[in-house]
Amino acid sequence: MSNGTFTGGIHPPDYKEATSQLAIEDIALPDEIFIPLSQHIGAPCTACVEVGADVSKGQKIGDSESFVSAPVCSSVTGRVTAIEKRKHFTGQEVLGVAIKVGSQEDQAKTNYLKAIPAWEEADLDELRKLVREAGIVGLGGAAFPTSVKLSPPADAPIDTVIINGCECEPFLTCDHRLLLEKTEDVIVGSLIMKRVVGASRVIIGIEDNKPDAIAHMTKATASYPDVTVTALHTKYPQGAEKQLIKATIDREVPMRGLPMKVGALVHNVGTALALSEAVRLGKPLIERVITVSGPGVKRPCNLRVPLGTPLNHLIAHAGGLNAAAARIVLGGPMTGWAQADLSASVVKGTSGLLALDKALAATRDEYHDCVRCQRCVRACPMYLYPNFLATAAEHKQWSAADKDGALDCVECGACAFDCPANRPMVRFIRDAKAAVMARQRA
Amino acid sequence: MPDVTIPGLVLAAILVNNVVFAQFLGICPYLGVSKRLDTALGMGMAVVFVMVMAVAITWPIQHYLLAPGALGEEIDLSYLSTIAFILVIASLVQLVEIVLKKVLPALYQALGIYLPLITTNCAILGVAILAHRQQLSFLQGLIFAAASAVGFILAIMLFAGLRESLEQRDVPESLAGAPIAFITAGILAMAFMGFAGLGG
Amino acid sequence: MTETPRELTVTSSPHLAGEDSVPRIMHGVWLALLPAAFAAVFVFGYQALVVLLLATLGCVIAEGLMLTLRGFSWKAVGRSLTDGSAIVTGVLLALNLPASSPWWLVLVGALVAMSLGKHLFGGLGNNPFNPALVARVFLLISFPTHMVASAYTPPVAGFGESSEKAAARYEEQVDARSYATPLTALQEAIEKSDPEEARAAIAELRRNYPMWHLFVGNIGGSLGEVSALALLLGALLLFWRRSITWHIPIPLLLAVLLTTGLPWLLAPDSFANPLFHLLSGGLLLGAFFMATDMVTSPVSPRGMVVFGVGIGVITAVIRLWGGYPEGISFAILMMNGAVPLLDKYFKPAKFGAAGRRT
Repeated sequence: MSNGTFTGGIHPPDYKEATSQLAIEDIALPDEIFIPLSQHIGAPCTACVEVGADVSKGQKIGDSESFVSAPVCSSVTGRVTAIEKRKHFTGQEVLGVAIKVGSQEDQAKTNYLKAIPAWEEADLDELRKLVREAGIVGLGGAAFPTSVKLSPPADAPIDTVIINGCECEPFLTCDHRLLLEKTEDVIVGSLIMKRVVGASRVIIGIEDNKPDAIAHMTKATASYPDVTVTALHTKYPQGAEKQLIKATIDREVPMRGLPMKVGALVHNVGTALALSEAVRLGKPLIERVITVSGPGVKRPCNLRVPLGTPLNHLIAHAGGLNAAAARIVLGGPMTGWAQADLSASVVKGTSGLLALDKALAATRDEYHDCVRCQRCVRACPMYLYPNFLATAAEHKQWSAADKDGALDCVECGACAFDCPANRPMVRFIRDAKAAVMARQRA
Repeated sequence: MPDVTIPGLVLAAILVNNVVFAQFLGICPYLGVSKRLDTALGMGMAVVFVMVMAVAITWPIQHYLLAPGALGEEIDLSYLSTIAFILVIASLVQLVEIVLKKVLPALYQALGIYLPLITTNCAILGVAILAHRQQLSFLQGLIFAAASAVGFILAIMLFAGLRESLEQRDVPESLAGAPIAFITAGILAMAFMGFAGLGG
Repeated sequence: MTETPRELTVTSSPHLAGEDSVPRIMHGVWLALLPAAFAAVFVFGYQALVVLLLATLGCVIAEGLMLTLRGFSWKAVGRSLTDGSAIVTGVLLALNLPASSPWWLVLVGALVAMSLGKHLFGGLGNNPFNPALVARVFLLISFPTHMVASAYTPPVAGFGESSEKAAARYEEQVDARSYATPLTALQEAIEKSDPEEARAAIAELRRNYPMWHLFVGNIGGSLGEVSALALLLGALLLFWRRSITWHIPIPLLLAVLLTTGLPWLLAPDSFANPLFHLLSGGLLLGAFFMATDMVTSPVSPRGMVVFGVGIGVITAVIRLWGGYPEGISFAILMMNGAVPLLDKYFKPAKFGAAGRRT
């Protein structure tokens, strides 16, 4: 049987060999961390600590009344030195809490939540509350509050929990390592999800460029009748939520609809781990695993990093940048954010920190008119006409872009990757989206 | 009555003797209403209606009033056919306009000035005259008119599609707009010359 | 702990790019045309080479001229000239011309291709019609005698060869060529008013043009019409480099087979065998190299299939019943005109759209 997939997509080289066999390392604590109060999709938090206050590891430092939100917790024990706006990885300024990291001994002081070891019998709402208090969000990149995803409305029953182990972005290997090293936690985390939403099965989807992870997980899940591992064709963006659902259970999520419409719930491997740790140990989401890689990094590695750690601390741990580094990307190379410097800090959704060299880093300053080669149409996982969208945006024809579905674009970048005319497709389409949304608000 | 097969008549009217590409009739709506596909289609539909009606009305007039000997041995009113046809077609278009305004105000708005333009549209008059020049029967005449109108729709739809797409092309400033539209129309007409002699 | 980062570029995602580029595709296309060009030179001799060089050079120069007139910087002109697109148009134009073309015909063609066909619309990527075909049809309509007499290759002296000697050489080789192209011969045969005569003419045609000759290229015609084998070789190269997909050429050829095959099945004596149609004329050249021109073909997969079928049917109709012996260039130009409509009406259903969900 051939491995599941969707129609469309591209096949970029995966560059994963640099870190795929390296075990996850712990990183020395930095002197200061900065935890932005808005790290997720939804309402930003307000700080619930004062400047000068002592906080301990796991203590909640920001929360929001809003349903679609997740609190943030301190990842270290230390003292709050400032609550101010600083540069975020997006380039914008964002309000956050700066904490001076206390001594090594202080770190033993933790302020975790109350664990629910007997989660198999526990009350579902209690579990949901714990997930929310732990500040867990989707760790694949979008950072959507997990507690919200775990509270589907009654009219949209979920039968399948899909664990996203695709990691289709080149370079990134953090999920790959988690599958190998945190197997038990990933499985338990997925079972908790299954119980909370009342699903009947768990499917772990893994791209077939990770045969060791597939073999390992298949063996590990043998004793769980409800959990299966599915090998998926290696293709970008196989890990995009809707494409993953199509590939694993062959259901197509309606346009602009949520996966629950087809009875599916998708969570990232890292999210499953965080959930398991929160429920079994009471540990809030205060750290995550990040791949630091790329030809511009001296010693590529997979790191377990406290949230709020500044990027330059990660790079220093990785041996520093070498002369070739020309672009720093936070996240994967297809959808990540280029950084002007290394001052931003790690947030919940940060999956990688890459230093690309000149040869790899695509600049799309000089581009050609569209030659209608049709590659972007073939590549688009949403089946749009990226070429027309981009050209309409280039000519500022916003209503044409709207009609062609600018808002349906998921900005995966497959079109731009394959464009022989080197056109900055995603940038154009983002312009169109912004203009269309501005007009809708007006 | 000439010996023509219906498919031959239809194909000839749509492709070989396309009103726009081969006869160069109806150029003003062809150029004027082809900026948007939807108005082009609306115009095309208006032309279908008016063309068929025009032939349906002018054919009996020609045959029973104006043709040499129709009213009596000595009477030949055929010199009147041009003026008579113009009159009949003009009143017909007025009728269409009134109906559209009532039934499809959106289309009426979209067509704007161009619906009255059909009044003096050479394509309508041309087809009406051609129908009797080719000595077609009444039924053949109607089919000829409908097929000619379909040919017009084909032409204007192709052209409107191209013009819409021209808006996204980097046409040199001096040629943007009408000039490049004329060049496009010319190349399109050139391509349709490939049908010359079809069936002949 | 911190090192001052060097100049970091900040651009929008994605931060990686595939390897293909417009020049790489374009140079690939004319490379793929080389087998057909060699075959033409082999069959028609040095005259074909002259037409090929003249057309290519003419197109490149005309492209440079147009770019300069449009006010581009030298750098931009240089970049456009080296992207290979003018060479592709030049070689395609040459393959669409008879070897007997006078020099001025070729140059007029090159100028028309680059101006009317391409730069008036804004240059590469913006032209709705295939430039080489705009030029061919322009020439076909303006100078029909020079274009339709394509078959006859008068003896031409090679370098350092007397004209008598050339004539003698020509006489020797004459049985390897033909005076008429297979399709003009067919056209004449069809047009015979007496059915008996027509039947006889078609039977003769069949003797004169064995399928094998059509395939390897022992026939007359425009430069690119001679060898199906050479064209297929080039097409394989394009498929291998993923410059073209099956969506246009295969439906196109099937449509020709069906449209010409049906009358042949009904009256095998009065119509040519569909395989004859497939291998003769510019059909393969058109199907694999001109209909597939990415700039002037639809982007929607279903639109491409309809585009191919449309070209096939129109070509066959013109060949069977039209006034021109060959219809592929007209057919492609017409369907080029329909591309915006095809893109619009055969748009793929979006992911999750109501219509396509299972």
